[in-house]
Amino acid sequence: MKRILVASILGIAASVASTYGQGTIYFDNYVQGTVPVVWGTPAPNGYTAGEAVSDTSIIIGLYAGPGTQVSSTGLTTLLGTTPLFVTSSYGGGWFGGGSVAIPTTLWTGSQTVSFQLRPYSKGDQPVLNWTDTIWQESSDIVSISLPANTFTAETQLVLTVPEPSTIALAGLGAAALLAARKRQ
Amino acid sequence: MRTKTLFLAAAALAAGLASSMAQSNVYSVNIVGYYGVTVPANSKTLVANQLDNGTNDLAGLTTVLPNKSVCYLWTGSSFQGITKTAGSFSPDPTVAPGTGFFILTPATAGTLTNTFVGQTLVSNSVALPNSSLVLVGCMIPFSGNMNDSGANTLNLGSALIPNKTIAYLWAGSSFTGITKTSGSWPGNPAIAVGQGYFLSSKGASTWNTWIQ
Repeated sequence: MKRILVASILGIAASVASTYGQGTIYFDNYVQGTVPVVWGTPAPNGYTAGEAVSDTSIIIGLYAGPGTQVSSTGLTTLLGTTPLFVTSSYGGGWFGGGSVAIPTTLWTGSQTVSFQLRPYSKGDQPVLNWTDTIWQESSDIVSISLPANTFTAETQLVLTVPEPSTIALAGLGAAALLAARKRQ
Repeated sequence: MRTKTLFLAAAALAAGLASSMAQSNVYSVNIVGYYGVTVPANSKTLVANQLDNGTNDLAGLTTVLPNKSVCYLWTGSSFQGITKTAGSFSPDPTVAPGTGFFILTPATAGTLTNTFVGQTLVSNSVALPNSSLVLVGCMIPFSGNMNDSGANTLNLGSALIPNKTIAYLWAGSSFTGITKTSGSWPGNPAIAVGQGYFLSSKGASTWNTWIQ
């Protein structure tokens, strides 16, 4: 019955705008408030593993892929980005990106979609690493003509800072690349 | 002495009469009122702003909502969800009288009553362009049934085009669509004060209601 009703409003909506076939989900961990973004190992100087991330220069990205994906390489669609924030009552590690649209290439009414949170950018370098956690949503994705639901199966995003050796290697690589270009 | 007392008494009486006569000419052209909408915890409730509080900003209309509440506003093609964080909404859009919007409160909030306070408008006029889908609530806080017609009613019975107008009423997790056929709404559903709903029209029309 629910599906018929949703289909009914989709039918009306389809004549109003072609975008109504899209799905939507609420890109937010604050409303449910159970899984703040935390630091893992290694954490930045002055922070410990498990501590909520209070660096509001960090931007989080929500990526999606079709069906049940097991690797981050299968999640190539960036649905939205939003900064982390801190509140006096609940601390840090929260983000609230609002409703995001899921394109019809991933969802047209009933499909399972895989999601992953990644650090998208940071005000100061280096770029952060993250744990490769992927989860799936299905029944919580609704038509874009309905108010979006929050995630129910969301996994916790754990951020880590690159090892110094990794940064050094990256620096060496960049230097080698520059040298090669100069020679050309 | 007696004359002086009488004079003073008469003067006081005259002043009182003048004052009371002046007061009898003071009247207000505004109708100010309020209504409450019950908002269960962790459940999407479709409400409508039906009064004009001056600014009509979202935060001012929903002061009872705790942090982690979400309000969803219709953009014309999708819903924009805004979360209340640290006591405020960002952005904090204007929700004009006659506009519907969803409220979702966190599970810990319990059942709340959101009270809308403000001036009552004396007429309601909502343009429904061809192929439109608008999230509304009557600009005047009337309750009644969808087939009611005329002044001091919702007037959904006569103002909208038969066979081309659909109302979508929120049923808790999805919308129930009702098409106006042969001049009336099947089932003649009741509409409560503070209730929002979608109206969709396949032809241009205007929904008017008024106080008489």
